[in-house]
Amino acid sequence: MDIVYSHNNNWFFADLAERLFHDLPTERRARARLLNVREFLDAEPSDHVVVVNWHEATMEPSIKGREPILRRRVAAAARRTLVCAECVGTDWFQNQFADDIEWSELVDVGWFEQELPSERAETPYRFVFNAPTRTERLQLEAHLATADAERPIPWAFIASLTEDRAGFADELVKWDPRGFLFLPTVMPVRPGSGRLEKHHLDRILSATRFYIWRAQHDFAYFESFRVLDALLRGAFPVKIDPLFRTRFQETGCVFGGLPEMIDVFSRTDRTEAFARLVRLLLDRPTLGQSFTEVLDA
Amino acid sequence: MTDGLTLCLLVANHRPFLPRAVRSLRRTAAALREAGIPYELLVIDDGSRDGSRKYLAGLAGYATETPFRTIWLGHPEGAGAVRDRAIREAGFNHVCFLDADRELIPENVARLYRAAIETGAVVVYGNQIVLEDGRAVAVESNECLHSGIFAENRIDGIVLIDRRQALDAGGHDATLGSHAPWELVLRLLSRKKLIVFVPVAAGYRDRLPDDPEPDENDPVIERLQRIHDQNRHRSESDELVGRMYLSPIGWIL
Repeated sequence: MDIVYSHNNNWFFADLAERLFHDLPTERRARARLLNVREFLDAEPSDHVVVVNWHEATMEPSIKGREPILRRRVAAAARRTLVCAECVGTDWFQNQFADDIEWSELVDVGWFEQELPSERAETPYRFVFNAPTRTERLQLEAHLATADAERPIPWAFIASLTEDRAGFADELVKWDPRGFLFLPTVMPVRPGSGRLEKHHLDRILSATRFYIWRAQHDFAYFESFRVLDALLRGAFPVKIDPLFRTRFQETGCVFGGLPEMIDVFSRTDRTEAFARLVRLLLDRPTLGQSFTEVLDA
Repeated sequence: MTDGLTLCLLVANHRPFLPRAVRSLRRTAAALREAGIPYELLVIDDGSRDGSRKYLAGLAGYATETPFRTIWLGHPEGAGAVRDRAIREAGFNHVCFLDADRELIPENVARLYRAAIETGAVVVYGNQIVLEDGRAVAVESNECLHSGIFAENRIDGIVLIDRRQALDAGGHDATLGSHAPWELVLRLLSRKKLIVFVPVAAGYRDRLPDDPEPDENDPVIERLQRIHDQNRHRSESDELVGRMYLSPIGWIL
């Protein structure tokens, strides 16, 4: 089995590929390969290809001109697994099917299952809960002991700039002006692009109390990756989602608006909320375990 | 020249905005006092004819902890000349500019100042939230400088400047009017000077219906592009030319 990803595009897909690979059970991992798209094109074909975000793979700058070969190589594999973490209904999700590859299955990684649109109903849908890996479990357990440590940055709001987000930034600033605000114009999060990569984000969140984001479209979607990014650095994740707050209520980190969130944390200890969310994750099988079960089902 | 911050209000027919700008300046002064950062308040009026002078002169009559030092220019000299005058007149080595139609976020000016001191940057800036009818609709000066700065200005309004380094580079070119701050940034970049984005909200700007649209055929813009962006190679290379820093995290980008 080859797990294939783009290494010069948005880092979170490369990160997902690495998490999936490294958290596979040892014996399974020994029979698998983690390959960036260029390495994949230069390697001997295998019978099972797992592509983490097909659109990103085809956009990989280092294979420019070889995209048709990539399509043929993936289409020729006996089993073709598409791993996706996109919100169904958005262009980012639709882009996964742009090249008409007949996927053997779609593995959706997140916290809540999504319903495929009717035109994709024939693609077998599998769901993997985006739980911490074995290594991440150790990090979370360590944070349980230190979650109440003083953090100098009250909140961090990091996303590409839109008018709605400018409005939300203003709300945050009026609540507490000392937050970390980074709303750059839209462009791929590539190394050297001036966008935040994982190690940058880790440093910021290690000093932050609340990592906050806001729903950006009318589809019910829960950004499980942002939650893990926050928790793994001891920050508490907060999603503001006026439309689908009740659907995600069980997480304890989705609020209808900033005033509601402020009100809740005036009565609730952040450390307790953090511990509750972490324990919820530690009760789950690891990401690699769930992924293996889905592949073997 | 001692370490500290000159808060410089730039006025040019900004009478309707002055109460807000002055309030913001005074609140910023209080925040700097609390942070233990030495400061002064400098106002430069660029030949206003709309009652701004009367308003500012009236303020002199009020006793405050920090009186304004005011410079009246007899006739309008333009943004470049005024800013250059400010950095020459400033009593401290760092100068934070506030155009009078902007508003500072007081709690974060000290963070811009700390970033300037800790990094040695010549220019430091933060996010500027744009308001339309009182509603936030955009954020400007919102990222590290890319090479696109060679094609058009990406830093608006509220900036903090190390006057010594700026003067060493020749200061603002008074002949360039409103393009002078951009030209200074380009000249500083060509001298490999450090320009730092601090990811906090630094202030607000109102977008008004009669705000001028950038004129692509402006001969000054074309001239600056010819000098700094030969054949558009630099602006299109998408290279990161600035950095990001926030105390206490340190360097981020």
